Amino acid sequence: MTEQKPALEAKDVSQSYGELEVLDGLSMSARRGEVHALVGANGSGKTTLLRILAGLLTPDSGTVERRSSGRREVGYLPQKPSFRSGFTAAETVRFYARLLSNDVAEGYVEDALSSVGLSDAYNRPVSGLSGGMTRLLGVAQARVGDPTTLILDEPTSGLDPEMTGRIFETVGELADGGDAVLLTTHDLERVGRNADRLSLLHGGVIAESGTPSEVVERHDAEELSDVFDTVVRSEGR
Amino acid sequence: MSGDGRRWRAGRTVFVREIQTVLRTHAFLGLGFGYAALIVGAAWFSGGAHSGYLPAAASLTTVSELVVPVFAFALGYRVVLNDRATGELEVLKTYGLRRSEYVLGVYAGRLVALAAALVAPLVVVGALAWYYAGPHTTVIAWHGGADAPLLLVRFALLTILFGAAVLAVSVAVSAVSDSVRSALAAVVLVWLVIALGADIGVISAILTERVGDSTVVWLTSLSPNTAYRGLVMETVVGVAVGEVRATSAVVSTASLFAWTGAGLAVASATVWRD
Repeated sequence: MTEQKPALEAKDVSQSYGELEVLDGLSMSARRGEVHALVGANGSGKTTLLRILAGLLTPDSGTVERRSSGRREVGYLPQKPSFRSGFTAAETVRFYARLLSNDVAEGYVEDALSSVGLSDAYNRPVSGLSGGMTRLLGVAQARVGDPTTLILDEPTSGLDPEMTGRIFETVGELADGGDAVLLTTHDLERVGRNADRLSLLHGGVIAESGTPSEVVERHDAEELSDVFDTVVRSEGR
Repeated sequence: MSGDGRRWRAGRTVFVREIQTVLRTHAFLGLGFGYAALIVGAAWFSGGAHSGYLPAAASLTTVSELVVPVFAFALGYRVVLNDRATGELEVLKTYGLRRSEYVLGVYAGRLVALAAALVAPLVVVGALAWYYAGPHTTVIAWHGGADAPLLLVRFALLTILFGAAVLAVSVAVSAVSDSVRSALAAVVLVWLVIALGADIGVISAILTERVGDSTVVWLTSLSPNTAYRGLVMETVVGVAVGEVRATSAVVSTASLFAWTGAGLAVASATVWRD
């Protein structure tokens, strides 16, 4: 069986803001069927990288290839998303779907909400959703148009452990269904448990990459936080 | 979800959502009712509504000149700013939405709401004028000094044109601003410039005799406020009471369209930042 090409592939991507070089010839990829966690210290350039991968920012140099079988190249969830108040969860999903097609079946909206566990919130105003439910609605939004790759910027930040687990569980199910999920997070314990692959962004490049267990073993460490300490705190930039 | 023609579909979707947003936002509804009460009250207490359509329109010119920009700015100054702050703009980009589609969709949606709010109180004023001054007016005939509903209709259309220009400027302010505070400051500054600055400039030019009468007529077409006022004088008041050479109707109309076009062009150019 021939190996599928990555759903998303970045090669030699560099990005600077004035004198500050954020990404320095970085290369990475995201594969279908995997939850890929991008970790790194605050200010390491994770959001910049995600915006480049999502096509929202053109890098100074390098290329990004997106392979999608859906109507969108990628689905994107920004950090701390919020939605127009005065609309229900279903109306919100329907709005995004109608950006792509006039003909949006009711079943499509139901399925979209059901896929992230928000069936019960169908008629609930978005202003009445909890922070975690808002993120899940954001994931449902990201899936509209069936993009192969979902790019989620810190989907669990500020959430309690239960909701964090629910979000990782949801994105895991989406990956099991064939999506390529690329997300950023600071929750290394969750990454160790739920991510199929991780990339550690440091110094403008991917300093470490592999499955969580591979990365831990490579450093002869007890857990991912030890690796993070070794790479980020000990080496410096 | 099935495929279909893409052209302007996304823009239409944004347009519909803007109308729904305005209808579902209590602050906007309150603002609309407040505006209506102010306009109907001004027409009533000035005596314009008792006297006929033309007196009603004439009595509302100054108050509209001051209040329509406030209403239009309130509707538009945060629209792009909010979508940027919540990450909505970036999300919309991943749907392939074009700058012009987004800006025109947002603008058109808010304009429909604004136009409805501007016209509604004038319908009430028209009904009052018909009731109290009805015997002296006719529905369709007017010429050379006669009063008629058509004059109030014309006033309403000019008011919408004026509001459209200011709304476009406010959407542009929203697109170029980085925070609510800077947007508010810009809105106040722009309002002062177009509401007062233009008048002061024209008066100053007349008092210092730097320009002739014919030039003044052109100068009064430059800002939205003076263009609107001039158009009302020229095409509503002037038609009924005789020759009023307040402005160039063509240039004033072109000026309002130019402000609208410039506002939308600035908004389209600055809405995405990458």
